[in-house]
Amino acid sequence: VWPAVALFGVAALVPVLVRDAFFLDLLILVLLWGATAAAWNVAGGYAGQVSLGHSVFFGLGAYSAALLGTKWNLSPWIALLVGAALATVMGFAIGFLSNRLRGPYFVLATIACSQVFLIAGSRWRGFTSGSEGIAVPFAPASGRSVS
Amino acid sequence: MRVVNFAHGEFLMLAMYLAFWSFTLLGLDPYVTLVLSVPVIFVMGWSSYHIVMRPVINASHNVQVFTTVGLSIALQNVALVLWTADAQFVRTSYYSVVVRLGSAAFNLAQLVAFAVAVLATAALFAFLRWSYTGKLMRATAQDRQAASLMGIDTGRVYSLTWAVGVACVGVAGVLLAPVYPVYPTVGLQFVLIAYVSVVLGGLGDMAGALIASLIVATVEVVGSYVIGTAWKEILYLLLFIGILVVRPAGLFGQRGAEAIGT
Repeated sequence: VWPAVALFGVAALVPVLVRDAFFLDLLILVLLWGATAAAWNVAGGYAGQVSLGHSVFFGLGAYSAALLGTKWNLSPWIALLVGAALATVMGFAIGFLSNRLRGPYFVLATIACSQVFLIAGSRWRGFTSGSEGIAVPFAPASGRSVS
Repeated sequence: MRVVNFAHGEFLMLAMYLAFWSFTLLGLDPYVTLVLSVPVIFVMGWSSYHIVMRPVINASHNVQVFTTVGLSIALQNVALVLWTADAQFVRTSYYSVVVRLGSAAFNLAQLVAFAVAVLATAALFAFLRWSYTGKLMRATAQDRQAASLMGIDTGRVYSLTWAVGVACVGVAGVLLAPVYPVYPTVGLQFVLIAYVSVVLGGLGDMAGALIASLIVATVEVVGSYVIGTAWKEILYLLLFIGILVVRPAGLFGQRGAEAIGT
């Protein structure tokens, strides 16, 4: 527990100390991909089920944040909960359907799921803006400038 | 072999680029390229087996999945670096020739692709069924240990099986080149159709796969007519997920086939 506390303590202090935008971006991405890898590791490492469809859950979170922010002007903090809830529900549904499959069959089922969501995201243009994506305006809660 | 090759689509992409480059640089017709490309793709398959697959052929399914997915991503990015992400097109002189059969209109290249694909499938079926090498392949697939006790060099059979599979996709790629544009990630959409057909027909069942591919094509075409072309892929993907959930061994396969290990 203590190494984790130390790591996140340092991580919390970093935005105060680091002023360089590029380096801050790099650190955020490191933590983001770390979290994504940890999430995948639960299925791939502990359960031994190689999922190539984890982009579904990542995308659900990203789309809920972007859509709630731009369409309904909700704070990213609320979107955090909504995205997690949506991904959980979808995880239950996909897991219920695919978890009795083994090996390559599970991989194929998860690829198919991710393709279904990819098509839905890129073709449902009225809601998701298709392949152009959604531009989220930069609006920090507390005004802090980074160079 | 019971190895799902996730890089299959990338060999299709390479075959399509081969047809494209020999058309643009050498002015060779894609159907002439077929004579040249099948051996080239066969050699590619053979060498990819020896470089990438042979070390992991006895490893677990997960390791093999990672290996072929890694090969797929590597090949995609090599193509991206070499030939950019732009969609390229083989514009043959007979590009817009339309053949009318009754009230239906077909593109000539599509008809040729259909005929050659049926011939190639029949040839592959006959090869596996009646040739001595085909018998070795089937024996190795059924029981690897017994096959190697009968004096079959299973390592060679595996590399040959792999190369033959890749060569088949090479034929498909050249046939597709006059009909579809080619870009580095083109493989995925075709290989997904292939997975759907093979799982629907039952793994390792050639005739089942042929029937299943007709079912998948019907679903795709009727679906795109009814709900619009933009969403057509979703139909067979949902069909695929449904089949995996309800009957994972495929319509004609034996139950529990998905759980059989090596």
